[in-house]
Amino acid sequence: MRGGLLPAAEAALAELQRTGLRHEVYAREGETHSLRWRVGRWERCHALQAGVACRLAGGGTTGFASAAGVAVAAGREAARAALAARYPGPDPLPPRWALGATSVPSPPPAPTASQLERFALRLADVLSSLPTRIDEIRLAAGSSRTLLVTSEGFAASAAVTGVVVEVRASHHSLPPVLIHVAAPAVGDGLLQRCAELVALLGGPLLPLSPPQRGLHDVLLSPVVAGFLLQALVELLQDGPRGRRQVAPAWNLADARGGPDGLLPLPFDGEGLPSRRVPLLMDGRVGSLPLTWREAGGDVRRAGGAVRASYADPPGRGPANLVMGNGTLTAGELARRMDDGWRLDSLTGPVRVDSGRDGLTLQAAGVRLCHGEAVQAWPRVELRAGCGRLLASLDAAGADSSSLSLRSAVTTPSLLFRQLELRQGGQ
Amino acid sequence: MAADRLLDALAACQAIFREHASTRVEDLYLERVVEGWWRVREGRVAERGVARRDGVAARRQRRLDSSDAVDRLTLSRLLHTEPHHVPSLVFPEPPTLPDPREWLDRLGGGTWVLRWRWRWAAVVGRAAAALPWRPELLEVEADDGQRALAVLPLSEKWQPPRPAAEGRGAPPRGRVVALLAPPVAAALIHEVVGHPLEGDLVAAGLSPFAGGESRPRFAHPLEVVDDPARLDLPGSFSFDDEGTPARPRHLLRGGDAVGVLADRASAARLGVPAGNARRGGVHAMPGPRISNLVTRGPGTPLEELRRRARVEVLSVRSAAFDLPTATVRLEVRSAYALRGGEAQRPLPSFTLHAPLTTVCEGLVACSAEAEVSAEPGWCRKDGDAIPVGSDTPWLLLDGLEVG
Repeated sequence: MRGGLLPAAEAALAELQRTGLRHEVYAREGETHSLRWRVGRWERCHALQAGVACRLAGGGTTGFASAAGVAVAAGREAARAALAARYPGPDPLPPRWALGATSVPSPPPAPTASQLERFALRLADVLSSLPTRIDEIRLAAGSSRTLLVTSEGFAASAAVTGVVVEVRASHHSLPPVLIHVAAPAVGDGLLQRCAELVALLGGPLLPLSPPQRGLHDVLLSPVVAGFLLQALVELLQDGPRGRRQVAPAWNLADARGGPDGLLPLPFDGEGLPSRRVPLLMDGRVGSLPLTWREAGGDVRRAGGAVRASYADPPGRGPANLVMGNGTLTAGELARRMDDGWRLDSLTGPVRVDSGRDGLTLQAAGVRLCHGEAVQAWPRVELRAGCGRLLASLDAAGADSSSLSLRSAVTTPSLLFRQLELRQGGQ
Repeated sequence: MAADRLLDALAACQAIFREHASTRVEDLYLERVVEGWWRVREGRVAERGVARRDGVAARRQRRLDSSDAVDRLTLSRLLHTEPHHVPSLVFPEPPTLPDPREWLDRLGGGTWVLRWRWRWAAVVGRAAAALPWRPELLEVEADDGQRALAVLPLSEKWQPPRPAAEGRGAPPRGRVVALLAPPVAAALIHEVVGHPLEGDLVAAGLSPFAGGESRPRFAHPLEVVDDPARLDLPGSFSFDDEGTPARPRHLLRGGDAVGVLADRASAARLGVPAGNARRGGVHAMPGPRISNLVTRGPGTPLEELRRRARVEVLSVRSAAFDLPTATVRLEVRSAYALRGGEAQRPLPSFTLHAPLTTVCEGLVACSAEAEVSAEPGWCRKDGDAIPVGSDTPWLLLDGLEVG
């Protein structure tokens, strides 16, 4: 990254201060190095994404606009466009007294392009020694800095870094599966984790037979559980309100301020200090945090704003989902099922059906009887309603792993009782 | 004058990487995108905003360097030269944010999100430069998440997405004879013809149509053309994102796969013409992608197709083609049970799936009339979304499995 965010932010502030309107300037600069290996060749990308967004309010009007770049011209452009985009509406900006920053751990230094390259070659080398066909390897190392300044004198900045590895691999002639691991930095731990997950695919070939359609105990690996948690929170956001039965094993929070999880941040997308928001805990559904405007100015309900990019206005959503660890290893969880299915890796996207308040996912599955693998099926389909997922979690493992999806997700293996499985791959 | 200055500046960029072979730049891609959005509640704008993104990307062999914002420092870094060698680029001014009132009148009341998009781009290659034209787009999203993408100005036939009728009773079971309305037929053709005939998949031997004599063949003699020159459809362009002039490409003729969608790299490998490279933005590598799929075939009256079908599928939530198993999957949002050509009851949502071979054998008839529809809208591949369009007849398909 280069330059810094101040020129754009200062130019936008100077433009907006003249108007006497309340305003907020949000600038973000991000850099991503990515590598992709497929069809025997590496492809490399380096992207700089930077821009500034302005929100303003006053005289019964409000406006939002953004412009790419962090130079003076970008700040000026965003401010002028926000003024031009004003329309009648309530003030969406939180007051100064609600703003603040929580202390969060400093992110590790972002890997350089050459460090990522070396890591990629080591990873490819390790994976090539496994009895598994590697169809594709993707690595992305990113870092970003954010600056938020308001007309009432609040100024705060944040920085995050992260690395994501995705491997599409298959064993024998079975369909490929997706392995996804995220970490704050490249290192031996990440390498080992990726290798372990790919090695899991390469075990002895089990008799292939689909699950009998019906209810089964299901053990989800952290990779599958991470995608499921992201979808579950989406259902909780959009789904019916009211009391729901929540199994005591649930310990899910949006740990926006850390210290756990992949991406702790000091403040939310509107500048409210980050706090830990219990989502599923103590047998009940916690309230999902909202944007300041959605919360109607209630600071206890606000603090849930995220910005997908500098060009997006704040919207509600989780930022750093963390499912608490249990005490059992994945092996102990597996033995806890007399007869059930372990879903290790996804073979397709997770589909959320808000209308039916449920979700569907397909994953490679292994049937376990008292911990022993007895049967496998490359595409097992899991269908579950939100209510059943909330009620049927039996235990969480102690093998946490992180994913970088729409939000960061950190979760161990999860053991559910009696979820609906059927033959997938159709 | 401004346009002349811009062309001079683009020529100066081209001269830098032509004269300095060490830069190894294949092409430079420049883009300005302006997007406006309006949240509408009960017919009134409740929120609105505008975003402008300028960007530039330089492509070397299997490497892409990209940046938001286009200034001399960025360009010099991408072209491996000193900033004072680089010309100053001033992009064209976008049109002013449209007034949404005309669209609101056609929506009626209710809750909607409107997204308007204007895009300008330039592709500067070693041999030539192009300024690809793309249509102005409007996307309308209904309260239930259903979206419709259309080219501006809106045609008189354009209709916003409507809520699905409440389903009654149980969904059908087993294999069905399904009549697919044009939006659903468009999604199916996009998945089973368009994607498998993308050059990168064909060149890698991953396409089911790459199987030589054993490749699947449609029982009904369908014609499918990828046509970026259909200016009334969202996927249109005058030059592709590598600067190759747009032209229609026959993908199916008489039900047989006869063409491949190719960018320059896959065209070279397969010995076919290029012209189908597309990218969602400066940060994405261009690749062979679908534009607008126009499907035609010997037609049967719609009433007769209805009499032969058990289920009429009007819209889908999503459609997907699973390459490893060569299976298509349609998540049905709105459908009716049919008996003797008459609609009996709206059905609850369900899934239809079938292997490609079944689709090819089971696609037995199509209507004489075709329709432009809002599906598929946005096509996402490797996380990169591009607008695509369709003009498709009703299709009668035997052998889709409910489950």
